[in-house]
Amino acid sequence: MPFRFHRLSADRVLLTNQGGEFALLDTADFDTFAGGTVPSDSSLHLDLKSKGFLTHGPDETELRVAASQFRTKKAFLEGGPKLHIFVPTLRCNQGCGYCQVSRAGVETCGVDMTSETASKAIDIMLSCPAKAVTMEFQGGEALLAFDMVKWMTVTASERAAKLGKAVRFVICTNLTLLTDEHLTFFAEHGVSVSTSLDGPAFLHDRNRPISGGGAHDIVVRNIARCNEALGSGFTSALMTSTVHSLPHARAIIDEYIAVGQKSIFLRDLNPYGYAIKTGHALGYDTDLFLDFYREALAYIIELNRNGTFFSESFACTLLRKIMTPFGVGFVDLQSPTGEGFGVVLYNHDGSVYASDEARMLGEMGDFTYRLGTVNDSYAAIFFGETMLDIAAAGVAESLPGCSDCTFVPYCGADPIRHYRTQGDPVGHRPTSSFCRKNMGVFRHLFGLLDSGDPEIERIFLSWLMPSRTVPPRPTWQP
Amino acid sequence: MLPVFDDRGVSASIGIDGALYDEDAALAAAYMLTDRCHVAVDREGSVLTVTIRLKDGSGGEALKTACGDFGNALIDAALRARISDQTADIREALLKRAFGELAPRPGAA
Repeated sequence: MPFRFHRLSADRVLLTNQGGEFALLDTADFDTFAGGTVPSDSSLHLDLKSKGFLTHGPDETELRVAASQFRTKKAFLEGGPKLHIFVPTLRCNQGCGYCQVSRAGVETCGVDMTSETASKAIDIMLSCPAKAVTMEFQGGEALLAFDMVKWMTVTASERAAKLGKAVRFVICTNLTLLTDEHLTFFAEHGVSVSTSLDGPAFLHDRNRPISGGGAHDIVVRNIARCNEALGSGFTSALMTSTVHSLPHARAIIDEYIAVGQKSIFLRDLNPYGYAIKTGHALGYDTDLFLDFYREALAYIIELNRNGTFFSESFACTLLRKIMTPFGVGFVDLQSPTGEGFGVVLYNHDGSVYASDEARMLGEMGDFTYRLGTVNDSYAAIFFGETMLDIAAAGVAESLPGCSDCTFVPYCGADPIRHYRTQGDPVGHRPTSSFCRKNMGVFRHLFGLLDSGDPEIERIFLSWLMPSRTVPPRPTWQP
Repeated sequence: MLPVFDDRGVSASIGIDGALYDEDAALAAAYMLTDRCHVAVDREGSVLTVTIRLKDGSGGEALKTACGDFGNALIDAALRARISDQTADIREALLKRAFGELAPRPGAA
């Protein structure tokens, strides 16, 4: 059967197939397999056959199973874009050095979305075939345009109900302006809160300064208010790693646990907006981020071993792809790319972009990936020339450097990032920081899965379970 | 397939038997080096010649390592090409089976 391979080390080889199954072999077994001489009565034969790597036909059943696996992995395509990002305002009250957009001052005029624009954008969102969509409010600081957020939430709910569709709401906010009125509205309309917490006060306040100071204390206090008003699971936090973060992996994780979070998303810097302008001051080499990531993940695994449930979101995304039959709607790691296929963004000025990253380019004066405006038809936006260009560079299985890569069943293409960083949406994988980071994390996760430590697999599986608790240790040994 | 170094030791040429390795495999292996090397692939008759030069202009052990890495990458690339050839029919059948029924049926609105 078709497969890809990668030498993890001098004596271990990773095999994957289109359905996302994997096998870890020593080189002797791999040579036997590649040579087509695996004895039919061997355990290796049974193992590889059960995972769809080996066949003597294939017969009808094997084909049906493999096709079903492949289709399930790509099921995220069905229904079109499901994440719809709205930018009600570009105004912001913080001055983050790594801001991915080109924020505007709190008093700036002409950077708020009008109700006419919002109305058209909501109609486009609800024109998508998906029966359930997520409407995410970003900024700027979305709470500076709270009246518009309220209007859009109520309007989208009413229109969706008439169409028999469901809308899930998420507001991305720095939480520094949170009031009881906000919380009451979020609770009434089931609005989830996504905020930013970069770690302890000395890190957060350095990365995310606010007039008057003390952003960290405000955010921590307001995360607690959100948890109390909305219940657990409705408030999540994201961190962005600057060069100042890298020596403090444990302190950052301890901070997240202290504020009651059950997971952390260890994010590297995005190459957009202010992050580019301040890149030399805040940026770092990908290998340094990987060192940070590995140290943080080791600490998180140690916490789980000792009975504290806590997960890392990027690892969860990859592990869900690796250890379950399902695909994941994570824009950066989809093939075909999530840009335009999984996500679409409606900017305050009515521009429609293929992703948040495409909007960030637009804010930098580059409109290459603007799909159109809210005045355009659904077909013009989603089947226009720009989407065709994205699609042409957005299928990882057909890109140089990716087509043969063993990690491609779990990875993505991200043409807009490669356009930004390398001047070419196809990109050059040997020098791509996107590829280097993802390959580094993939190799590390498979190395952990290959470590022979049953606790690792148990902990990883616990991260993928809806109950989000560490299951009891098995009393038997397999 | 041993590399031949130029007199300054900053460039290496590797001759490849075209009967043993096809051009696609050589190109795929060369591509993997393009982060740190300038690589040229030429053909004369059935012999492919790959010329490798480090981008930083150095030679010595780093160039020898690059040549070794190319050799290993070439073997993997050739194996991948063989797997691709041998499984082409199955891959096509899988794709048709997985996504064929998503295509509009004749006469459907």
